Amino acid sequence: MSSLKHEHVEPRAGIEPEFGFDQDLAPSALSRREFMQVSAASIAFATLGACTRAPAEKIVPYRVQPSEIVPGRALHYASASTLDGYATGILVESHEGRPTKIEGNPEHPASLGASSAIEQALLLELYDPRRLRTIQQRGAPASALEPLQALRAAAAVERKGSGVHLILPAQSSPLVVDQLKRLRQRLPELALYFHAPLAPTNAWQGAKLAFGRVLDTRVDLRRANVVLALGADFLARGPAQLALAGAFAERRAPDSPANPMNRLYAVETAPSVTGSTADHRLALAPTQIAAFASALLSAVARGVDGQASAAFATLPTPALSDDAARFLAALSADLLAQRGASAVLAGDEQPPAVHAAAHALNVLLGNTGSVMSHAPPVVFAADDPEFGSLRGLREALAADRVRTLISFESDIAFSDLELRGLLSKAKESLCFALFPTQTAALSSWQIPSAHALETWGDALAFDGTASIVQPLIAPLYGGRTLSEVLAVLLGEEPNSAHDLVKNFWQGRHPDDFGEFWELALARGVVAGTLTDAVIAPLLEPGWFPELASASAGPQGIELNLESDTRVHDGRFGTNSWLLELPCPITKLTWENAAWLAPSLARRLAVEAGDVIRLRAGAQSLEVPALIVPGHADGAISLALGWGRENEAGKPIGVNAFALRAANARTVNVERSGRQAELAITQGSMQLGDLAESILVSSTLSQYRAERPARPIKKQLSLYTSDAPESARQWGMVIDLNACTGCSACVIACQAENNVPSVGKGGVLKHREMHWLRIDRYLIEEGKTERALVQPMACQHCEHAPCEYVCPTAATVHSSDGLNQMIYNRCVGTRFCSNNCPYKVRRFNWFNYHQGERSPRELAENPEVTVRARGVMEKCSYCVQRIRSAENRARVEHRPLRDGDVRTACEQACPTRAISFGDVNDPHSAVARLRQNPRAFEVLAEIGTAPRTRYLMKLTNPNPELT
Amino acid sequence: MFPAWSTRVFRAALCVFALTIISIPAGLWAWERTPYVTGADTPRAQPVKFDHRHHVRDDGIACGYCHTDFARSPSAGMPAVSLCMGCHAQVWTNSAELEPVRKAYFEAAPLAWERVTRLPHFVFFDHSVHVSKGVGCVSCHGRVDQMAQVYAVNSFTMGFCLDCHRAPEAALRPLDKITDMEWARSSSDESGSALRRKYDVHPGTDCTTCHR
Amino acid sequence: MTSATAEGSAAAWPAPDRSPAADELALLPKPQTDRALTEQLLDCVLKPPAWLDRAILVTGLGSFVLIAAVTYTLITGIGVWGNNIPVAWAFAITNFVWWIGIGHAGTFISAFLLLFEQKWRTSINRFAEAMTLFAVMQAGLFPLLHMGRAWFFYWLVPYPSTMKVWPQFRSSLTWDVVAVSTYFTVSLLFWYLGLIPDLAALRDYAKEPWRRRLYGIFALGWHGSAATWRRHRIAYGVLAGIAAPLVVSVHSIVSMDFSIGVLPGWHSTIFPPYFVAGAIYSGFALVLTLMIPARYLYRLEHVITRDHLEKMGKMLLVTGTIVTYAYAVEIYCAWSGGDAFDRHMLLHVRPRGPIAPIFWTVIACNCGSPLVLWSRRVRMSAVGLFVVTLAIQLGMWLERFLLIVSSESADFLPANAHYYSPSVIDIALLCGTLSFFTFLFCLFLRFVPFIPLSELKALEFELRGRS
Repeated sequence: MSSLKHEHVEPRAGIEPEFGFDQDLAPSALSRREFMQVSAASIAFATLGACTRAPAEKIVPYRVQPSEIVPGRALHYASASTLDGYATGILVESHEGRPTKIEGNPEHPASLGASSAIEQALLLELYDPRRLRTIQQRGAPASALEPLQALRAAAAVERKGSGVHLILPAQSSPLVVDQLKRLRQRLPELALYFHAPLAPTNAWQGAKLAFGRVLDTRVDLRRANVVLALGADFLARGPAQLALAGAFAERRAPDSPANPMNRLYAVETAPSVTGSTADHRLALAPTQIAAFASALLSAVARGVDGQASAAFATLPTPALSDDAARFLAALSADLLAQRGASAVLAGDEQPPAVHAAAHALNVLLGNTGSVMSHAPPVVFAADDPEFGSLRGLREALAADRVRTLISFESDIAFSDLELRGLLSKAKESLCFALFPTQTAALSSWQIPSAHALETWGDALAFDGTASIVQPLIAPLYGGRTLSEVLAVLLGEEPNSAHDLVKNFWQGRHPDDFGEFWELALARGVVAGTLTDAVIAPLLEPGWFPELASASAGPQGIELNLESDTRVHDGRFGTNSWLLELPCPITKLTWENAAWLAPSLARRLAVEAGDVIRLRAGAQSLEVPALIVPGHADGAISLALGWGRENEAGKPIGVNAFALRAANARTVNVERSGRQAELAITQGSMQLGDLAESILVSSTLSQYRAERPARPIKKQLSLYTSDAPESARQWGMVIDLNACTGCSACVIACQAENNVPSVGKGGVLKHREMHWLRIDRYLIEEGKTERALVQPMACQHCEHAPCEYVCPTAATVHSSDGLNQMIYNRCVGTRFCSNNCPYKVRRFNWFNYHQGERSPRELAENPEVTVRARGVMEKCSYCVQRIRSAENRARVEHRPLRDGDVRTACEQACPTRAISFGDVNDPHSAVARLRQNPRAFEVLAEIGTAPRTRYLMKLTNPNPELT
Repeated sequence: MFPAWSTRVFRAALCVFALTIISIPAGLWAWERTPYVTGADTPRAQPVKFDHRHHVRDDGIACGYCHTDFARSPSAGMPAVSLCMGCHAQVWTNSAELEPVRKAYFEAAPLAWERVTRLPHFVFFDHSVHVSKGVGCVSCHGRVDQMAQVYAVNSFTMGFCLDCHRAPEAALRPLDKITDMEWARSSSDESGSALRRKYDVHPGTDCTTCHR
Repeated sequence: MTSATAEGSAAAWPAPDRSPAADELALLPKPQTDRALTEQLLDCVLKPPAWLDRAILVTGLGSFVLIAAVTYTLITGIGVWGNNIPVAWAFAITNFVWWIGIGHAGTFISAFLLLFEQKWRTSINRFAEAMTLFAVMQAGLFPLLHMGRAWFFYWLVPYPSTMKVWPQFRSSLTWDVVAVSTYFTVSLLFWYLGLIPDLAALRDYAKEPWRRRLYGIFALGWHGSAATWRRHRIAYGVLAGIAAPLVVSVHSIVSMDFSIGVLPGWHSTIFPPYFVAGAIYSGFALVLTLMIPARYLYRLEHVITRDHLEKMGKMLLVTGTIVTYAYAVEIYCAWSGGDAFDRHMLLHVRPRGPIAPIFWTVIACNCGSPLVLWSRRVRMSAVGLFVVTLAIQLGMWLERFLLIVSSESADFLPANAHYYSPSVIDIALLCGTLSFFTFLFCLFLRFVPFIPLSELKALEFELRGRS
C-alpha cells in the first residue's frame, strides 16, 4: 500500500538546502512566521486531535508499466562499488525504480554477501542534497555542449595532447584501462595521473623490493593458525576486508575440532579493529614497528635452516624494550612452530621495507604457496613508481605548461595543499565531481559526474574477478561517467556508457554474448576472470639499509597518519551516516582528533578535549586531543580524510593531509590553551566489576576446562507470559567471538530502518538515534587493557520493563516474541526509555526527517514508518522483513524456512556474528546457538529474560605470554 | 437584591453545566465515527468518469484484469494508462471523456486518480495475503460493480480491521470466488470455519501485523 | 447554635483528645467582637493594600514567560529541553512532583485537621486550600507538556475509540491522570464550599452594587439560616471524609512513577509513605512561606498567632523526621540488600558521584534545617520559621531532581552513563510556574476573604462562649 505513494517521486530541481547541514534542527532556525503557523496548527491539533478528516491523496499510475516492476514489490540488482579501483559486489534493492538499500553480493569474492559501512552509505551519497546539479563555467550555468567542445579541442590529434593533464582515481576497470591505453597512443604527450592518496603504494613497492616486481598479495586466512598483523588493520581496512574478516572469523570458533581456533598477534601504533580483536597486542611507535619487523625477521631466519635464511640471519637486530622482546620471543617461536600455516601481514601505512620484511618472513616460514599467494596488480599502472604522485602536475603548473586540466572525481585541492595554490595557473580546467569540492571551486568548469548507482561500467575485485557495474536509476543530475569522457577524448562519437561497456565486453565474448551478458548482470560477477597466482622467488635482500633507516627514526614524538574506516580519503567526508558512525575505537563522531597514549598525555600535560597544535616541518595543524588507552607511547595518531567543508563552509574535522605534505616523521606538540567539545557517544568504557553480568569473556583453555559453562536458568516470575505463546518465537544470538566491532551493522540498520542522523549538536546532547550501537569496554589484563566490543540493540525481553509502564500500550509484546514499538500510538512520555536497563530506545526530540524538502526522502525504506517528532523508536528485529517474508510464504502456500528472514545487521555482518531466527524450531541455527555453552544474557539478574543472547568472548593467548 | 426567578435561573444553569460535561465527550465520540471524518460513503470525482458498472457488468471485465497485482503484491495496482488504451485504441477512440487518458498516453501528462480507499502511512496492508486466504474484494470494497463513482463502503478504522482479524470466518469465501461480486454463502457452500481450517487462516492481531 | 451543630457533627467522629482550654485560648488571645473581626477581615478584600496590585502586575507579566516557554516547546519539540537518553525525564517531572507535593498541605490541613477537630486549623485552612489548588494547577501542566505529542493526551483516558484499544492500566501514568484530576476537583469543591458563607458576608458588607451582585452570584443565595448552616456543615464533613484518603492516594500513585521502575534507586517499596510524608512536609513549609509575610503585611498577628506558627513548626518537625527516616531506610536497604546496582547508586553515585553536591544539599535542607525547630524560640519566631521553610522548599525540589537524574544518568550499563544539564527553556518553565503561582495567589488575596471569617467567629464563640 505504502509503496504506491512513492511512485514517480522525482527530486525537483533547486531543492533548497536542508535546515542546517547536520540535520541538527537548531530551534533558532524557526522563523516568526513559522512559529505562528505551527502554533496555530498545534492548537488545532490539541483541540481536534483524532477528529481531523482523512486528507485527499492521488494515485498516479504508470503510463506504460515496465514488465519487471510490480508496484509494492522490491527488485534487486547486482552491481559493484569501487574504492581506489577495487570493486566490491553489491545487491541493490529498488522500489519502483528507486534504490533504497544496498547489500553485499554473496557471489562476489570481495563481499561474500557482507557489506561494509561505506557500501551501505553509498545510498545516502546518491541522494545527498549537496550534489552538483548543473554544469557551470566559473559559476555561470552552461550547456552540456560547451564542455564537450572544450574536451574535443583539448584532445585534437595534431596537438598530441601536449599541455593536457588528466587526473583520475585509481582504475581497474577493463573498459577504462583499454580506453587509457588507446588514449596514450592517440595523444602520446597527454600527462596522466592517478589520484589515490590511500592506494597501497607502499605494499606494491615492498613487493618490488622483495620480488623485483610489483605484486598483489592474497591471503587465505582459513589456512592460518597464527596470524601476525604488522600495523595491518586487515579486518576493517583494504579492498579484501570483508573476505578476510569472514575467513578469520571461521577460525575463531572454539568448538569445531576440524579447524581449531587461530591466534592473532597485532603490532600497531594506534588501536585498531584488528588490534582490539587480537589475542596479543603490542603498541609500538612506527619506527619501532620497523625495528620489530627486522628483529623478528632475523630471529625467524635463525630459526629456520637452509641458505635461503642465511642472508637474513645477519640482519642487525635493533634494541627492543623488554615487553617487545618477550613478545617477539614468544611470537617467533609460535610462527616457527606453525610453518606453512601462519601469515604475516603488513599494513598499507608501513614503509616498503617493512612489507619486504613481511614477504621475506612468509617465504622463510613457507607460508607463501600455502596461505599466501601473489598475483599481478589489478590496479592499472600500479607498477609505475610514480603512481599516485602529482609531482609532475605541480611542476607543470608552476611552469605554466598546463593548457587543459581534466580532473575526474579527484579532489586534488583537498588532499594536496601545494596544488591548491597552483590550480588557478591552469589555462582551462574541467572538473568532473559529485560534490562542489575544493577542486571544483578552483576549476573553470564544474561538471556533475554520475554516482556509482547511476552509471554503467565494470571493475575488478582484489583478486581480479570482474563485475559489471549497472545503474539503478538514471543520473539524477545528468552526471557524466568516466568512460564517456574518455570516449570524447578518444575522438569517438558521443556514446553512452552502457554502449561502451556492452561493446567492450562483446569484443571479449563475440559469440554467446547474449547469455554471457545476462548472466554477468544477474550474478554480478563475470565467471572465470580471477587472475591466476604467480610464483615469485625472493631476491637477494638489497633493502636492509631502507629497513634500518625506517627503524631508526629521529628523536621526538612520531607522527602516525592513518586512513579512516569511515571517510576514507575524504570522499565520504560529508556523508552524515558515516560522519555520525562512532569511531570503532574511541566512539568519536563528526570529527577526527589526535590520539595520544595516557602516558604521553601526562608528560605533555594534555587533557582530553584540549586543542593542541601539531607542527611538522613547515606545516602546522590545530586539532583536539583524545586520550586513547592502548596507544603507543612515543607517537601521536591522526586520521586522514577529515576536514571537508559542510554547507556552512565550516570544516568537519581537520585535514591531516596538510601534515602529510610535510612528509615528516615527527611532530612538535604545543597546547593552544583552547578546549573543544568532542561528540563521543559512549559514556564510560570501564566495565569495572560488572563483567559477569554484562560482557562475559574468558580464554580458550579456561573455557575448555570448565564447560559446559553457564546454564541460563529461566527467571522465576509471578506473572505468566504476557502474550499467548505462538509456535514461532523470534530470537537473536550474537557471537562476541566473531564480532570485531567494525560497525557495518550500525549503518546497515540505519539504512534499513530510516534512522535519522542528529548532527554533532545532537550527539553532544546524547541524542544519537542509532537503533544498534557497538559498546566498547576495557578490562584490565596484566599491565595492559583488553578491549571488548558488544553490539547492543533492543533485547526483546520476554518480561520487558518498557511494556508495563507505557500508559497508551504503545509498546507491547507480540505473540511471536517481539517487543513491538507502535509509533502511531506513542505519545512520548519516555517512561519506557527510563525503564529500559539497556537504554536502547531512541526518542525523536525534533522532526528529524526532512520530507520532500530533501532528496534524502528517496532513500527511505517504504516498508518502515518514518517516525514523526515526539515518538519513541527502537530496534524492531527488522519486523518489516519478518512480516513480508511471512506474507510471501503464505501467498506461496509454503512454510517459512530458517533463513527466510535475515535482519539488516545480520545480512551486513562480514563475520556472521549475528544469527536470527525461530528459537522454537529445533533445527534453526539460532536455536542451536542459544544452547551453546558460551551463551549468556546481559543483565540476566534483573529478570528481563532477554530474547537476544550473546556468546561469550574467548581469546586464545600464547601460554608464554600469560 | 436578587429577584425570585434568579433561583430558577441558577438551577437551570446547573443542569446546563452538567449536560455540557456529558455532551462534549459524547459529541466527539460520535463525530469521529461520522462518514464526514472517516471518508466513507463519499464518492470522489475522478479525472475520468470511469464507470465500474459498465466495465464490470456490461463488459464483464474481471477486477484482476486492471488491478493486475492484487494477488501477488501488497498493492492491488492501478492500471497503467497503456492498459486503458489497450481497449480504447479501438473503442471510443475519440470520445471526449477519454481525452485525459489519451493525453496521459501520448503526451505523458500524468493521469492522477483520486484515492478512494485510504489507509494512514503507518498502516501496511497486503492485498496478496488477504485474497490468497479467501477474503474477497467485495468484503472490504463493497459492490464496486454497482458504483457509478467509486466510494468507500467502510470506515477503514482500526476497529473495522480488528473486527475481521478477530473473527474472520464471516469474510471467508472459496478462493475461486475472490473477485465474484455476487457470491453469497449458500447452504451448499463450505462454512466460514471450514474454510478457515482449509486455508489455514490465522490473521494476526499483533500490532506489527499492520504497524511497522 | 452553630457551635452546637459543630459539636453534633464532631460527635460523629471518634472523640479527639481535648487539649487544655488555656492552650486553645492561646489561639485567639484577646477577645474580639464579631463586628471587629468582620470589618477587619473583609476590609482586607474591600480595601486592598497598594502593594498588592503592583505584585499582581509583576507576577502577571512573569506568567508570560511560562506561556512563551510552553508554546515554544509545543511547536518545536521536547528537544528544546536539556533532556537526553538516558535522562529522558528531568526538570519537567521534578517540577511536577514538587508542585503536586506542595499541593498536599491544603487538603491535609482542611480535611485531616478538621476531622481531628484541630481548632488551630481555622485561621490558616483557606490559605492552605488556595495554595493547594494553585499548586496542583502548576503540577498538572507538566505531565501534559512533557509528552512528545501532547495533543494526544486523551489517549491516557479510557474511552471507546475507533481504534478499539485501551490505555495500559498497569502503568502508573494512567493512574496519575485519574489521581491528579480527582484531587483537583475535590480540593476545588472543598475550598469553594468553605468559602460560601464568607462570600455571602462580603455580599452583605460590600458597598458597591457590582460587588454585591458579583459576590451575590458566587454566594449562591446563602442566607445563613440554621438549616443552611447545618447542611453546610454536613456537606463539609462529608467532603472532608472524601478528601482525606485522597491526600494519601495521590502522592502514593505519583511515587509509583518511580517505584514500579527497575532503575537502581527507584525500585523500592518505601516510596509511597515516604513521598506522602515529603509532600506534606513541603506543603506545610510553603503554607508558612506564604502565611508569614501575609500575616505581617495585613497585621493579622492576633488572628494568626505565634501559637499557630508554633504548631505548624511542630508539623514540620514531625514530617521532616519521617523524611529523614525514609532516607536512612533507603540507604540501609541498599547497603544490606544484595543488589549491586542499587548499592552502587545509593552508596556511591549519589553521595560521591558528580551529583554529590546536590545530594548533600538535600540532606542539609531536609534533614538538617528542621532540627532547629526543636527549640521553641525558633518555632515562635516568624523570621526563623520563614528561613527554615525556604530551605525546605529548595531541599524538596532538589530531592526530586536528585532522585530522577541520578538514577537515570547512571543506571546499569557503563556505556549509557551520561549526565544532564537543563536548557534555558527548562529554567524558564520552572520560573514561569513560580510566577504564575504567585500571580494566582495574589488574585486570591485580592478578591477572596483569605481568613475563614465564619469559622473564626464560630471558634471565637466556642472558646469565649464556653469560658
